[in-house]
Amino acid sequence: MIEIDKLNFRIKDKIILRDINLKILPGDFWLIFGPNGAGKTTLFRIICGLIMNYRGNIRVFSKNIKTESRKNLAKKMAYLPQFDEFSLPLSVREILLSGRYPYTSFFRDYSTKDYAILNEAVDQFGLGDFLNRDINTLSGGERKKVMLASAFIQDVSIILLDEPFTFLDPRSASNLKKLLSSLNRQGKTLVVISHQIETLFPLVNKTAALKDGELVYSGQRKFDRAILRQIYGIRFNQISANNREIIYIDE
Amino acid sequence: MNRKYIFLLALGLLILVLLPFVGITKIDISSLFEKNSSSFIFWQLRLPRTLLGFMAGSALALSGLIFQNLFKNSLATPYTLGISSGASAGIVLGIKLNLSATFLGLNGLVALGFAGALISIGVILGIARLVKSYSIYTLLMSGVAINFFFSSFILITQYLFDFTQTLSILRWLMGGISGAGYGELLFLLPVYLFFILAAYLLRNELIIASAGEAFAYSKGLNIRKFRIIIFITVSFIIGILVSFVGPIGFIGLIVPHIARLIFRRDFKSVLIFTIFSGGIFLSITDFIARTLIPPAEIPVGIITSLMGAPFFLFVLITHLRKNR
Repeated sequence: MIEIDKLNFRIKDKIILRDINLKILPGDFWLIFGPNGAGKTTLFRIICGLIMNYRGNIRVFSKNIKTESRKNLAKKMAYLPQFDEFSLPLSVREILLSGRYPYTSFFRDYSTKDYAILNEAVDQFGLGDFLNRDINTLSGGERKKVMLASAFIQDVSIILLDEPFTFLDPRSASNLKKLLSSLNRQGKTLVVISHQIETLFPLVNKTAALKDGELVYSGQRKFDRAILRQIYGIRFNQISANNREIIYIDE
Repeated sequence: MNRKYIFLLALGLLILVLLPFVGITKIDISSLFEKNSSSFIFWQLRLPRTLLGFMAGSALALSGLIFQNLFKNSLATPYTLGISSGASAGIVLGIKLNLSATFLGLNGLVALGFAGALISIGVILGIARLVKSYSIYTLLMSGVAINFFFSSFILITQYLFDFTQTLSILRWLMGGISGAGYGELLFLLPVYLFFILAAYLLRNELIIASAGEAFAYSKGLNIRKFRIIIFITVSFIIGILVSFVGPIGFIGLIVPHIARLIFRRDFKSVLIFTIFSGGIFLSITDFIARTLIPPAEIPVGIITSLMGAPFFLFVLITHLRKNR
């Protein structure tokens, strides 16, 4: 559903991404990891259309993202950046409702169906108490949940998440983990950028490792000490306990 | 919510109806439809003036609200970013070059005001792109520089005028709606109606724009295209308004700010309140301007700035304290 073909991107003489080939299939749950500055966020920003002057081909549902309309793309794919940019007062309701924006037109406002979808998601995500709150007054974990609910309301098949676990306390992180797993089980394709390898590795079915703008590995999830060492320069290890695989840094 | 609306609407309409009746000259209501000096003052002077004040104030406030949303910042308005002074510089140049003749149905001064506003917004966006930051620091600093540049430009042009011209330019620069007639009203009315209707129809886009580029793209709004279209439209509106009433400041800052304080969590209400109370605000300040020290008239721009500057500092301080 996302096909990335020979993607190259540079800023002046600096190569940011080199010859990236990646195929994301329906139902996949990807973890993309790599050290800071490897090009992970840039990759997402390119896929989402925020950066246009790349070379190569990117297709979402067989449609080239350079020529497909923004609204059509937004019906298929949502992107949750690492940092949201809210500063003016905005209610949670307005943010959630924006998820239905791709289905509106200039003269057609949000419909009763859009509101029904909104209410359904509010119940599922437990956001009833937040609807009239200003987004700027919510905690990091609550904001993440609102953004995820907004993507869910958008009725997309693919959700890209950039570092969703930053600034979350253990409880919020655990809740988010459960939420992601449940969305994946409901058939959503998830692509997550994260440094939290220990947290996410057991959850996903595909992994991609990015270093200095190049894909070192991409494909079925497999715990590979050599790759992890190559990427981060430290030793990771894996043990099994209580029927769970546990990954930890072994230094 | 609804009660709040209806109350404000009723209050506003009441003020609008009452304003032309009060002033230095008493209006004789019983002879309103007869030919005498009091009915002349009512129909030919005060009524068009009140209506122009309403439309101008409303459009200025709306421009401010739109800028705040597009820049994601409550301090970004056409006035603080130097868009109004760009328009003023264009218009002063037009007066100097005697370009007040109409061209293609468009007054030459309006066209030059539009051009000046476009230059300002171009510079602001250019700088923001160059340093890759739309932070309040970048925006306001660019705005300050643009304001200074165009103020000096205006001063030079004025310096080269003869004395009587200089005086009338000065009066215009202070902002005023005293010279309003039905000609201006008829020109402004369709533009004004188009502007508020467009803003209302684009309210969902304005909400999404205020949440940033990544959010907008994710939700399917091509914000870069949207921003350019809106900036050109607002520059055009500012060009017209400044050529009619002068660079009246701070309405675009104060009114949307109060609207957000009242209707924090509902942009649609913020939008409607801004459109409506911006008009009321300028009508009332103009009333103060023409009655404060009779028989003299204070240019209304002075009143709004006198009230607006302290308010601007207040907003700036709360904004900076919040983001510390």
